[in-house]
Amino acid sequence: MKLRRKQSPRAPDALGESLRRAAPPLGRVNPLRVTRACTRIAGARPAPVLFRLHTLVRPLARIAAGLVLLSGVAVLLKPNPRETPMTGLPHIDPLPLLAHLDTLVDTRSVTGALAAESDNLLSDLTALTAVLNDRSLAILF
Amino acid sequence: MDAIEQSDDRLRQAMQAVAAGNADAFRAIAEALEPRLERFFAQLGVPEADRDDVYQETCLRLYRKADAYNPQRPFLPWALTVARRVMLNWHRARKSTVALEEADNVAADQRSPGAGAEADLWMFARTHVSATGYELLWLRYGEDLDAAEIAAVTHRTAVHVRVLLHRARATLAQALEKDGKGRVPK
Repeated sequence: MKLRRKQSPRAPDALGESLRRAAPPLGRVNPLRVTRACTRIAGARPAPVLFRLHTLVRPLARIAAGLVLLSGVAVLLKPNPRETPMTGLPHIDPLPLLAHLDTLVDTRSVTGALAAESDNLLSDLTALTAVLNDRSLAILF
Repeated sequence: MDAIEQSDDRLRQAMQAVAAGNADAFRAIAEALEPRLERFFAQLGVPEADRDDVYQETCLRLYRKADAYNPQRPFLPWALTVARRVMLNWHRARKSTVALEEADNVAADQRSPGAGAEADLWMFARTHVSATGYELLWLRYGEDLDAAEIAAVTHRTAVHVRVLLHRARATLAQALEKDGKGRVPK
């Protein structure tokens, strides 16, 4: 349970009133300063278009937010196809068999390429073994 | 109630006219704002020599942002928001060091704590309250804005403004009690 401090009846803001009374009064208008400011404004060019674009940001953001909201509502209201009742078992295609692979690939060309690759690997291994033997013997003797 | 509060509607209409392309309508706004901004800048530490520049820059900003002004809202808090931004930019751009021959003038502008307690409550507040607290006190009691308007001017929430104002008032009341002037009745 939260404890609340007992509050006294609101006293008048004596300090605030003192500050209000002590505030210096407004002076008189300085016409020269006003004229200088108006002259400067008259000579000022209108703000570049880029500086005015910020006024369009808020309406554009509102339009974009509205579109997002509408699209969200549309997605929510769209009927879900899974909710439709099934009348029977769905038809599923049988898996393709590997036995039919040879109908897709030319086996003769694949066999030739594999054989050539095997020969290359074999010769590389032979060369590598010979080099290793030479180096090992060189270290020993 | 001062003239600018009484003529707030007139100033709103003038600002709408400026936004519509009537640059001459801005003169009424500049005249109404000049004494107000002069006092505002003086209270918030802009030296007299620079107030003219800050005022002119504020007027220029107001003129250029006329189309961004919402006439459904009061004019003065909006104008003070722009003026405050200009003043903050001026404070940032101001050099922290001065030439040696100007050092005496700067020292004369410095506040002397406690010296003005009898003379001016605002001077006393300036020396005993933080800069933020002083600014909020001035906007509340000097410019007579409410917490929501101060929140808009200073880009804070209204609750935050109330809390900071409460702290500033408490600090000032304690300082006045310590000072022993008995200025504020409890």
